[in-house]
Amino acid sequence: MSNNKNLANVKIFKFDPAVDKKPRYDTYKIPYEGRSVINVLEDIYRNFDQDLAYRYGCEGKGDCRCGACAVQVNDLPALACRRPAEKEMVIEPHPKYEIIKDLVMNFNKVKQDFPKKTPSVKITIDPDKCVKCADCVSICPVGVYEAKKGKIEPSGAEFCCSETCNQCVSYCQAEAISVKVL
Amino acid sequence: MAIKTKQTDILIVGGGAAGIVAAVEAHDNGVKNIILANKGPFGRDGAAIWMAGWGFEVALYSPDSVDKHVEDTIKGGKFMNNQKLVKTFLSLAPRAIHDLSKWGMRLAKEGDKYRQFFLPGHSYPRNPNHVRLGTMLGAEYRKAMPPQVRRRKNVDIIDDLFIFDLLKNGNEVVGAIGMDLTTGDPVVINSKITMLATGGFMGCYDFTTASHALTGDGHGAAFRAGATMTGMEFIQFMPNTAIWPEIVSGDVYPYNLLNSMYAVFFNRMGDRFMERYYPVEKDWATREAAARAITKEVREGRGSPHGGAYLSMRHLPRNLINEFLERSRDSEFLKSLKRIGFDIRDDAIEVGPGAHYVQGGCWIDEKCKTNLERFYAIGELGSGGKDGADRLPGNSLPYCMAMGYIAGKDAAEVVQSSNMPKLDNDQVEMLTRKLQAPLDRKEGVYPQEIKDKVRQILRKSAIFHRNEEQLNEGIKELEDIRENMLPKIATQTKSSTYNQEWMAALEAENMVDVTEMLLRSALMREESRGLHEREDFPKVDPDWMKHIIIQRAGDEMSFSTEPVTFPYVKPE
Repeated sequence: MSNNKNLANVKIFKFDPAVDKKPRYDTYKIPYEGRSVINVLEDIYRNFDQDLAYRYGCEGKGDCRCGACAVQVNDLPALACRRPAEKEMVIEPHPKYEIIKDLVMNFNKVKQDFPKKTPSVKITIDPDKCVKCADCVSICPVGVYEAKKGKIEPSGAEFCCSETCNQCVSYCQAEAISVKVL
Repeated sequence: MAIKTKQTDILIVGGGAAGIVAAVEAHDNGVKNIILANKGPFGRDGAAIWMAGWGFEVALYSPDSVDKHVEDTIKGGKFMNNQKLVKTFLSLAPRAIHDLSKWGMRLAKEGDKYRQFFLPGHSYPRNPNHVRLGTMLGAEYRKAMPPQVRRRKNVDIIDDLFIFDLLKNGNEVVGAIGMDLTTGDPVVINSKITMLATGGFMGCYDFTTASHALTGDGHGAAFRAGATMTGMEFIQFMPNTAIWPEIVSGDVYPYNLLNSMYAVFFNRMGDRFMERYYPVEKDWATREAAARAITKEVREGRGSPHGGAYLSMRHLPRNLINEFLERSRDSEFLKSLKRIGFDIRDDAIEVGPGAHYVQGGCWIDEKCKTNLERFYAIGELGSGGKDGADRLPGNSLPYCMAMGYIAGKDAAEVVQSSNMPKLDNDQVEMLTRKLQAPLDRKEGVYPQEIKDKVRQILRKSAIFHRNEEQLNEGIKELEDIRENMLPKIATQTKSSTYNQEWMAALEAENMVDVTEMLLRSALMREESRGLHEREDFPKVDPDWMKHIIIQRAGDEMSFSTEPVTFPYVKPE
C-alpha cells in the first residue's frame, strides 16, 4: 500500500432529467489507493462538484450492505461503499432503476426499457439444499431473486452486485447459493 | 417551487426500528391513514435497520426475568436511569423478539428455546443469534422489518422526504414541513398526531460508526418547536473503530482483533503506550480505558497519521494469525482489506473512538409523549433519561421496538376521538422561506464549511477528557456560527434536484442546535459519571444524581434539573 499520492482517472455520469437533454461524463483525477468508490465520490463532491448527486447509507460499516449506494463501475453493478477504487473508473448509475439525478436512483421504479445484458455472474441455487424460505428474495438490495411457481430464480442476475455484496450467500440458512464472477 | 400539502391521521418521521413498529402497531389498531416519511430510501436508511449487529437483549427464561434485566440496566446506567421507562420498555422485549421471529428473523434455537449469549454488563445470557452467522444479526432486521410496513397498504411510505421542522399551533404540534429531495419542493403535512423517530445524532461527529446522515434532524426540530430535551451530554463511543485504511473507516470490527487475537496498540513513535497507562492489563484494559489512552496520546501529539492509534497483530506467529483469518473468512471487514491489497498480518490499521449512540433526546413519559400536545418521540430520540449515565449493549433495539408498540397503540386510541388541527399559515410561509433561502442567496457561507466547523468543535471538546476551557471555547465558536455563518448560508450549486448541498444547509442548523445543547449540558454537569467525563471534575458527585433539562427560551436555551427517583432499584 502506498502513500495515496497516485491518481485515478475517473469518469462520472452526470444527468439531471429535469434540465438536461442528455447525459454527459465529467472527468477527474482523484486519489484511489486504500479507498472505496464512495470515498472517491465524496472527494469529488467536497472538492470539485457540489452538484454531484450520489447516495450513501450504511457506508459499508460492520457487515452491512444496505444497498443505498448501488452503482455501476466499469460496466459492472456494485455497491460503491465496498467496491475498491481503481486506476481507471467509469462510474454510472445502477442499470435497474429510474434515474433521479446522476447516480441517484428511485428504488421504487424499475426501468421499463433497458436492453437485457448478459450477467457477469453465475448464480446457482442448489435445489437439494434450498428450503424455499425466500430470504434471498427479501435480502437482495437490487431484487435479483424472484419467487416463481414455487421456485426461487435469480432472474435479475445482470443486476447482481456480486463480490461487493453477496448477502444472499452469507444469509442463506441452507448454504444453498453460490455466486461466481465470470 | 410548488408546495405540496398532505393530510393524514398519524405522521411518523423515520422508518427505523421504532418508526416501523409504530406504523405497524398503529395500523393494526385501526388507523386508516399513516404517513411514514424517510430522509433516504426506506429500508436502506438510518442505523438500526442495519447497524443492529450485535445485540438484542431480552430476558426470556427463568431464572432470568425482566426485573433482573431492569436491575442490570439500572446498575449499568450508574443508577441515573429513569426507572419507570426502563421497566415499561424492557417488559415489551419478549414480545418484540417473538414478533421479529414471526416476521422472518432466523434466530438460533435449542429445542424450543432461543439460544442466547452473554453481553458485557448483563448477568444472564440474553442475546439471541442468527442460525448461521452467529452474532451479526444486522441484515436480518432489514429483511424482516420493512416488509411488515410495505404489506400494510394504509401506510404511505414516502422516500427522499427530508422533514426539517415541526409545525405548531399554540402548544399543539399540527404536523411537519419537509423538502422533497427529488424536486426541491416544500412538503407540508398536516396530521392529528406526529411522531419523530429520527434516530441519534452521531452523524454530527466526523468519525462515527453510524451513517453521516444522522445529523440530529429530529433533535433540532423538536428543540426548536419547544420540546423539553435531556441527556445531551451522554454520548457512547466505540473505542476501537477503524479509521484507516479509508475503505474500512467507521467499522467496529477491530474489537475482534483485540479480543480474539490480542492485537496491540502503538502510537506514532512506535511506543506500546498502553503499557505506560495500564501496567497490568496493558492493551486489554477495558474499552473505555483504551479509548481514553488513545485520546490522550493524540492530544499530546503522538497519535497516528489519521488521528488515532495503530493496532497491530504483527507480533503474533504467522500460523496463528492465518488460523484466525481462516475462521473469520466471512468477515466483510477482512475481505475489504484484502481487496485493496492490505495485509493485516504485517501492517497496522489505525483505530480510534467512533461516535456510536446518543442518550440525549426529548423528555418523554411512559407513553412516549412529550410536553407538546399531539407529539411523541420514539427510538433513540425518545430519551426521558432512560439510559442513565451509560447504556448496556443490546438494550437499544428492544427499547426502540417497545416505544413503537406503546406510541403506536396510544396514538391509535387518541386518533379515534381527535379532529384535524389547523395549520398556522404564517408559520408555514416562514418555514418555506427558510427552506428556499440557501438556494436563493447568491453568495454567502457554504453549508459544508459550517458542518466541518461543528465537527471540529465536537472532536476537540466533546469526546473524552472534557474540560471547562474547551467546552467554553466550543460554545463561543458555536455562537459565532449562529451569528455570522448560519444567517448567510448559501449553496454553491443551485440545482433543485437531489441537491446534497441544500440538504447540508438544513442539516447544518440541526448540528448547531444539537452541539450547543451537548456542550452546555457537558459544561453544566460538573462531575464525571458513566459516559460523561470531565478531566477537571474527575469524580462522581452525589449532588449530580439528576437529569439536565433543556428548554428553548426565545433565542436562548434555559437549563434546569430533574432529580432521579428510585421506584424499583435503590443505588448501591
